[in-house]
Amino acid sequence: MLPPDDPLTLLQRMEIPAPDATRRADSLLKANLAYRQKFADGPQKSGWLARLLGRSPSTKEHVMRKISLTQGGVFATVALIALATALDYTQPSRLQYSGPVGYAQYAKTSALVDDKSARPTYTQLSDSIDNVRGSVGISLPSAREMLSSLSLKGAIDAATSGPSAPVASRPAEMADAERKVESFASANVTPMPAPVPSVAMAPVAPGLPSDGLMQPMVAEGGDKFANLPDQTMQEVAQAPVSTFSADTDTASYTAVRRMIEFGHLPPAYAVRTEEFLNYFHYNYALPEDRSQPFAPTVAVYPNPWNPQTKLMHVGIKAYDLPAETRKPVNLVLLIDVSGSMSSPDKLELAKKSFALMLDKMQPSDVVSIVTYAGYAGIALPPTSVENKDRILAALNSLSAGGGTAGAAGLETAYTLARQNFKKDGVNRILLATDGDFNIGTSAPGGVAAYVAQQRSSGVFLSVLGFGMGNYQDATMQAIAQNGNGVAAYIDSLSEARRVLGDELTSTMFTVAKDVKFQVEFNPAAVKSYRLLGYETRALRREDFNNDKVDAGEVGAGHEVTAIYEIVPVGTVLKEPNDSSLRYYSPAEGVDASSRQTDEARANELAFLRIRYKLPDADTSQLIERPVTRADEKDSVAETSADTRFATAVAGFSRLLRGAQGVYNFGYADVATLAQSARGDDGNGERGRFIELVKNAGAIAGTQPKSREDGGVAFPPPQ
Amino acid sequence: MNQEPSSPSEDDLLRSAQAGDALSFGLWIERQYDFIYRLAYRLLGHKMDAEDLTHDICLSLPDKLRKFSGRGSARGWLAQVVLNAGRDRLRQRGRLATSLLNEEISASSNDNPAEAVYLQQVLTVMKSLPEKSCHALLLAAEGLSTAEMATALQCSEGTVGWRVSTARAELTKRLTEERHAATR
Repeated sequence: MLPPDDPLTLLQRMEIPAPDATRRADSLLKANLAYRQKFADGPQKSGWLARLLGRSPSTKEHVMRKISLTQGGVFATVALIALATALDYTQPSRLQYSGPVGYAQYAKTSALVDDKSARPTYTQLSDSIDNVRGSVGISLPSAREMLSSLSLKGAIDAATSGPSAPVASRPAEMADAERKVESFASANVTPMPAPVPSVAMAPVAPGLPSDGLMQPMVAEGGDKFANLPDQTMQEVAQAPVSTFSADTDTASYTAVRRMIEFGHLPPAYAVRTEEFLNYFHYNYALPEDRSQPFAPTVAVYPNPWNPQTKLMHVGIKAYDLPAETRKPVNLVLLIDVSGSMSSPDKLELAKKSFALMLDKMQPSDVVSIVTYAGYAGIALPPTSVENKDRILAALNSLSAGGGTAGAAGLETAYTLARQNFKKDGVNRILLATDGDFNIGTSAPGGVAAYVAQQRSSGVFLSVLGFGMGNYQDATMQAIAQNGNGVAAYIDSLSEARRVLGDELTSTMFTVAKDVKFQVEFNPAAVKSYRLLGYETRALRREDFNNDKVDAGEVGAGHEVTAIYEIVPVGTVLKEPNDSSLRYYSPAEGVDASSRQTDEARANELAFLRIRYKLPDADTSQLIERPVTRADEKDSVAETSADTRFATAVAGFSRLLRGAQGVYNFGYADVATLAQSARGDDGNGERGRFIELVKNAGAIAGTQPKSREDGGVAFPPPQ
Repeated sequence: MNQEPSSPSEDDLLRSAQAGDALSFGLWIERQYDFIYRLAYRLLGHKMDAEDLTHDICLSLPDKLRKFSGRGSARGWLAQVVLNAGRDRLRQRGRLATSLLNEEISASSNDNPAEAVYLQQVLTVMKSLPEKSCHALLLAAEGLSTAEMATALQCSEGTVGWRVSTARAELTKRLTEERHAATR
């Protein structure tokens, strides 16, 4: 043993400050770009990932080129990352569990395979397993069998069924999740725009696009994202009312940012506009009267990416709670300590994140820790924050290991939460996981249903996602939505500081629940519209007034932002026969304009309604506000900085999604617009956004334009 | 920190990157960034300098990849790249700046003032050691394996242990001398 003051020990212990995240991202991006330049035309030897492709070296050259250069290729590439990640991060010790762990990882990988391309892709994956076995020298018994049973059933089936994800194995369980998952599947079967002309390649099965080694189901490293195809333009005449649920999730933005900082444009379906918008803070006006949690801010202005349309920006900001008026907190940390969490950006980051969070809590708050892996255990019985050291010690002692289905972690967490229930307080479970949901099989009706059922007991649940590689976005979203909580993705300590430090109040203290938005457009003023984002949050029109229908929560100090793209009316349109509408009156003629007897109404573009419930109320309140010509601005420049920034964020998401109806508007324009709206940018998030946009532009610049604009909705302006 | 053994797959990633696979490179470099940065910090003793050096190394790696023979440990090779780059940077900067910059290190280890003072002495003395000894200590402190250190220091695995123990003895001896000088 070394003496305690051995200089080498001292050197080992020496504190090294963490590198700046922005600088890190910048260096990594530039290194990737430099690599592409260096290797674009260089000699290509057979590499490990090339062998994974199961192709001969001669065709591999094309494949590799395409991978780095085409959008379709990005999908192919990320599929390989999934394999690489699955195999690569596998520590020897975890191979002891190679059955279940291997299975779980392949189940995740197989999320990449979509129905149509399942067979050929299966062959490739299957072949590659042999290659991997040979080249890496690890054993994955029965991986091939697992894969074969999975791939035939298609991606979503595979990812949500079988022993690795028992909780989602019964299809009837999670109506909500399932709806999303289905749409997810269909969204991603949508062919990629502008397939790149094929090059000489090994023969592939008919029906598989020649450049599509894998289909766009593939997300970064096996991460699974829930999203729907873009909202289409709705004719006001046919669908005058748009209804959606509030959403304060931010996971999509963080995950996409990580992909871009990693040097890749995200697949379109990973981009959820509403989560982009709601990641940022806006200084919307607060309600004058505290009896109401928020008041809407509205602006209508020309659309910077399509001069023929306008944007309608709707924002609400909930009032914040000063620390002294906070309710007591009963918090249960439910931490996934299964083998897949053993990575510096997973369990270690989760531990640090929770340590940060403790600083923001009050001494009287109570924290308990439940872990799950091979078994569920109480790592820390309920302990008040006064004894912070005990909590920290318990956190520090956590280590990842094991991998088989754990029992009842969730149930243990709820039991603890209920035992220490604070009647007038916040009772919440924070689930930290990489999405490998092997939570107890005994939960009837699956995790989401179980969480929804527990919600009525007053215990809410939020999900914190960690790590890249097998983040199960769809599942996480479903669970958080059912638990009256948010889903956030934490990729770095600075993000943890944001979510658990600065925003702890909004994450924990709900000021309004079941917040629903409804916009009725005036057919005399608006011809058609489309909501940007919120695809997974759409509600049926009748759900708006139905207090039984669950919707999003808004935390203290949170903002919710939505942007509509609207087409002003050119001609007078006929209206549907629906007497419940504000702008419709059956007694009057068919001409919309002639019915506008009320001059004020003629001046209205739309009518905004927001429904919400106070946190412990069962009946909803209604906020109403007409959107009038007075809200209209002649140019984007005249709008508030918040509106401009939100517009830039929405524009960025449109570009990343390769959306239709974007003209003469690129990443540089987004950056310029955002720069003009940077404001005081207290926590630097707007500045980082601008950097991100520039990086995305740089990446897009190294690739041939692969996202041709369909231009279906509107012809480009002359 | 960073004492996890380098897995064979890391080498595989590097070799695949050498073969022209951009994604392997991306994965590989993302996982190496912190390692490079930590070594750079140990060499330069200053956060922003370390970030600068890491940035330059990251950008030069695509070029350097072509020169990597593939023999020996990939991480060891990378450590060698960092040591070389750090040497160049130190030469540019000159000795005076180096000793000044140690201030920051002592300031950051503030949980135990006595230890911070001692660490400061250790770092100062390390600068006066022959470069080979200094590098050996630095890599050992960062937890590199014998094989990795052998590649990084361009010596045989058998020599690594000897190098580290010599360096440590040298360091301890000079520290004791300094103390005597200070108390006299």
